[in-house]
Amino acid sequence: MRYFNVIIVLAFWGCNKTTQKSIYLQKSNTTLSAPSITVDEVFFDIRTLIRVDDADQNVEIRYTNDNSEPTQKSAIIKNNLKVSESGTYKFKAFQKGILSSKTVTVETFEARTVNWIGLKSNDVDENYNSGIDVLTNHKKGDWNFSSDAWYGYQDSIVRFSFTLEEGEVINGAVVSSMIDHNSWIFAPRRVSLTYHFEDGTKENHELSISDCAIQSEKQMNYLKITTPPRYPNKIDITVYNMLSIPDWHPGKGLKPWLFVDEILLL
Amino acid sequence: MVQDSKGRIILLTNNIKNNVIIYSKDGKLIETWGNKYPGAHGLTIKNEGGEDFLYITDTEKSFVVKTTMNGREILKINSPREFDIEDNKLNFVPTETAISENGDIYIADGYGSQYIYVYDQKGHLKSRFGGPGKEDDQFHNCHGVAIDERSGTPRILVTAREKNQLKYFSTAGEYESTIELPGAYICRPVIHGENIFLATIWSGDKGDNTGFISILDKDNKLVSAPGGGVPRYEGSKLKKMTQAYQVFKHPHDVCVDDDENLYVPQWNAGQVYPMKLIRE
Repeated sequence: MRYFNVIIVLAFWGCNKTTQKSIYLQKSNTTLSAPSITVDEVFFDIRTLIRVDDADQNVEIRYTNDNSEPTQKSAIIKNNLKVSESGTYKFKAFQKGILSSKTVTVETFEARTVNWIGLKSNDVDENYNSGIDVLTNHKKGDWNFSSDAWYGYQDSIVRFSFTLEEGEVINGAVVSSMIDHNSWIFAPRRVSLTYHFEDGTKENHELSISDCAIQSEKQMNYLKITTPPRYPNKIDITVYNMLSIPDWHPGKGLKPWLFVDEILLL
Repeated sequence: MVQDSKGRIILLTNNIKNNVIIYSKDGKLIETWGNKYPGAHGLTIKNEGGEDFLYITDTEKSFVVKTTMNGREILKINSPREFDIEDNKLNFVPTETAISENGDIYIADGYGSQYIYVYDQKGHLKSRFGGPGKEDDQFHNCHGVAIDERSGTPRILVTAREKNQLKYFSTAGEYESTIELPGAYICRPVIHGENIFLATIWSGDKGDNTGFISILDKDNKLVSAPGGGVPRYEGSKLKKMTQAYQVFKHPHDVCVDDDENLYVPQWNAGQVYPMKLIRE
């Protein structure tokens, strides 16, 4: 039983209009909603499943796994996607006669076992979390930032230090965070990865996030630094929060929140 | 948004230049009134003795007011805290009302205490039920309330928005049952004929601009979702609903007129006018 096979929309005209005009929404001007994509385990050990939900069977969902934008020539996905490698997957909904949806990007990370023997961070003033253990449990947090999956704080600089077992190879790191500007949660402005070697030398790698202050939709944010293989005995991952909320936001001038749910050593 | 007995469409806004805007069914402006309800939120109409009355909730000023159709105030209900209810330390932020045939006023304190307060027609507090929590008879944003008389026995139907549920209570406030609508963050139930219509302000994972309209049949099964995906049941369990087409942003109510057309006012939708869906 369907009540409205075709939606026709009549916009009411304003109080100050002296003439009335009807506007009917045309199918060709309608945009498909972004497909609903969920990942069983973003940080997986052996394999994971990307679940694709077509809200309407008339909709085709197409995807890419080479970081390119999906087009009407991209592969159609009808079932869930089994994944056993780290990757970036982009999905987009298409339907004849209707404007295609926004692209949904999901990322998956093969979370190998790294033998670190200690993790600590400098104290944070005001936190919203249950401790730094959540940062290495390979569990992706959901949109509920107050859940125990997240480590949230407003401090400008927080350093996470891993002590490693001898001979452990490291190829970089991923800092997984959330962007939810409505909740005053922003991306960091910078992430640095510093390798400390046994002979006392250091090697630093930086990632600057130039668009952290630009208004954007709610999204999960993966900040990845890849390096040549290295054998450090200690790693510092320093996350630099934005110093203040930008002017376009209701909280302008105040300290933003930064929420991290995982630091993955590659 | 409601339709009065003259067939006019009444829109409630929180703009104190014109809290109430009255349109014809084809969208022509008839009149406006109201400048003192900055938190105007829920609008219910009830014909009492041949005359229409409006019940307006104000979430900013924390009251419910009953008015004539031209805005004369008949009754004002302030916070139930004035009645010294034990343990009631939460704010009174009423979001919607429902009026029974005997004149009882059911007030959903959806942004406040999470209780449904029951007042008599003179504004005296009679009882309350619900409250915040995870139990079957408790709420997390009891945003809307309606009286469902389709079975012949009046029952109170309450939105549990964050739980994606509707809950039935007896008129005495005893919990009866729950309707599960996974993925649908619903506003108040609007009962028309054998159906229930619900503005669904968010869907799926509660992303912005993901609303649609939910329509339940006489068995309270979701049968249509304009703007949303096709409802699919696995046994008796509804698959999580999501928006399929970007027709709506944040629908906040549905008015069903006497020709069964729908009018959909929205919250946080770029100040667009209500949209009308014409019955085929």
